[in-house]
Amino acid sequence: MKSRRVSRCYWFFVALLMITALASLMIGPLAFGPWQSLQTLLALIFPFIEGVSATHTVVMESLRLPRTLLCLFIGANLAICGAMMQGLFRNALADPAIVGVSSGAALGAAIAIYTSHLLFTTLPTLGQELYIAGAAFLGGTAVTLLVLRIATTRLGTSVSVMLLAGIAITALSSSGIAILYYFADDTVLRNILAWQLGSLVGANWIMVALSALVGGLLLASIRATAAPLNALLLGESEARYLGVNVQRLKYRLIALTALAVGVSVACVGLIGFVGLVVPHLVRLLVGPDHRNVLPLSALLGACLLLVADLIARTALMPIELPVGVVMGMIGAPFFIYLLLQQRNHMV
Amino acid sequence: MLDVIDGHFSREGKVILEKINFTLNSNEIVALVGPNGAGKSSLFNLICGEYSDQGEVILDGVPRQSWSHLSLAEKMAVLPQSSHLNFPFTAHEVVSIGRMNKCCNQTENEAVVNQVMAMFDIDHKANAIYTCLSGGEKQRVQLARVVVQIWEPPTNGERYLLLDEPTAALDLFHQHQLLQQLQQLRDSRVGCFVILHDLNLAARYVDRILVLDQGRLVAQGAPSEVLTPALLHDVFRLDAQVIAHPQHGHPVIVC
Repeated sequence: MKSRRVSRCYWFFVALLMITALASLMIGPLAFGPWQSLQTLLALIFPFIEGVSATHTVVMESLRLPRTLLCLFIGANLAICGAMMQGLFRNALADPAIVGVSSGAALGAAIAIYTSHLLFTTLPTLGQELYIAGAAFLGGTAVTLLVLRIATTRLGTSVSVMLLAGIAITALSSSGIAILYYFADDTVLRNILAWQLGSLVGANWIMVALSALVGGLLLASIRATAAPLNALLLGESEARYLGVNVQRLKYRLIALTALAVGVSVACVGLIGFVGLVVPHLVRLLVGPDHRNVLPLSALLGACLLLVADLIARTALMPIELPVGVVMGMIGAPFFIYLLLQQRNHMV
Repeated sequence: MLDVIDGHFSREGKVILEKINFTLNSNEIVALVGPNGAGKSSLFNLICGEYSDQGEVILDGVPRQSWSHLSLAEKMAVLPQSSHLNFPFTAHEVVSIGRMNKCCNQTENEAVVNQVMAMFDIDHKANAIYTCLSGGEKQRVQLARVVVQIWEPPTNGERYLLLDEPTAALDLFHQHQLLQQLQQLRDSRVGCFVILHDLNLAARYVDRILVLDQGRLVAQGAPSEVLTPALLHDVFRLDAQVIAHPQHGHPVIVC
């Protein structure tokens, strides 16, 4: 009964993903028809296909396609991260943005943007991207470890302490970034500002490759982490008695989430709430079993970010909103709704 | 055989357990009793490996830290006092988590889960959401979860079941049912170690009672040897009579 429901969810999410991805390819200042976008895509893959205008090909190759793919991967990564983090903290309110991991990563990225301008102005784009992603990863890891240390006692993770620690760390990182403002020149300032709002405008193929790589890593890890995560929800000791190497599982989850958040922050900046909204919806549909929640979250996360990006692009045309702003407008009310639901049994 | 050798534990300079030595055989139920604050849970955690190097715990001749996580889980199941689960699993899913390392096929796993849930009289709630169950029902789900974990004999050695106050949330019927199930498990060679508060329940069902007082084992032995008016007075500060049960002959404490 339940397994049929799960497989129906898979089909529905795959269909939804295809529709949103196609829409994302079609919609923009230069509009594509559905057939036309598919044809242009095919022409990109098989250069011998004729009858496609050069403008369309260029727009598809350097703007639409990388943006759509980046959106897809980042959305999937952030959603899996959210689900993993909620398992790690054993609470449905954990999310990279709320716990402060994103802001830690943002501070790391901002410092990297700043120093990369000072140190190596001649760095090639790939190296620079990696440098920023690496710094964001370090920032994210440090914050996850810190919050986990602050909020976890022998009895488990205290939600209120976790959220408050997130606030404190976010404030600290914002101050750090604000200090950088004073030392930054105009270009750097604009770059850092773009990071903080979260935007997919600068999508390029390096970013797509990086986030696809991380996405592959996350998907590959689902098999090994899903069942132990279920056990972890019972409690750390309980998971240990069930034969789970809890310490190793925790470090693996911290590394994976920090890596994914780091790369996504380095590529598109701060986009919150994907990891909060998506796993919650998936759990409503198929229950909390991570063997279903993790892969389904990936699919739905990709859909959600594609839709958010479409809204960001089209709501105030020709002006483009940063997608982080759109996600905030969707996610923050949702977060409040979750708080209202949980406030009766919060610790 | 599970041996605890020179178990000791102190927290912030205060001695909580000292010189604890005892053995749990795989053909007996051992109850740990004692007044509040005697160190029962600390001793329980010490056996489970929550504290490192506080004396030796030897399982079937091998120190517990030498067992791998998986082989330990195969032979020893532990139910702590309270489990906090706030994700909406169904009762059946919670019990199935106990089968996470079993590689036998899905139908076989399913059969074990259903059988054990019926054993603990919780099968009618299989599709209910765990977080919405009553305290006693949750407790029975958790009991079923730890029992399915050690349902099959392990590849090495014997099996042990450790329960910290498993009867706390249960009604009278289910308290007796649980102890009867433990007797059945003992008969299929699962050594059971149970923290109990109800001395009469212990007297009726268990093979051996360990009495813990101020961090020391002050008595151990069969219920009829251990439960004397003198011990009840010294350890529990209780003036009580001990009489023999009219039918079964085990000691009954009457206050």
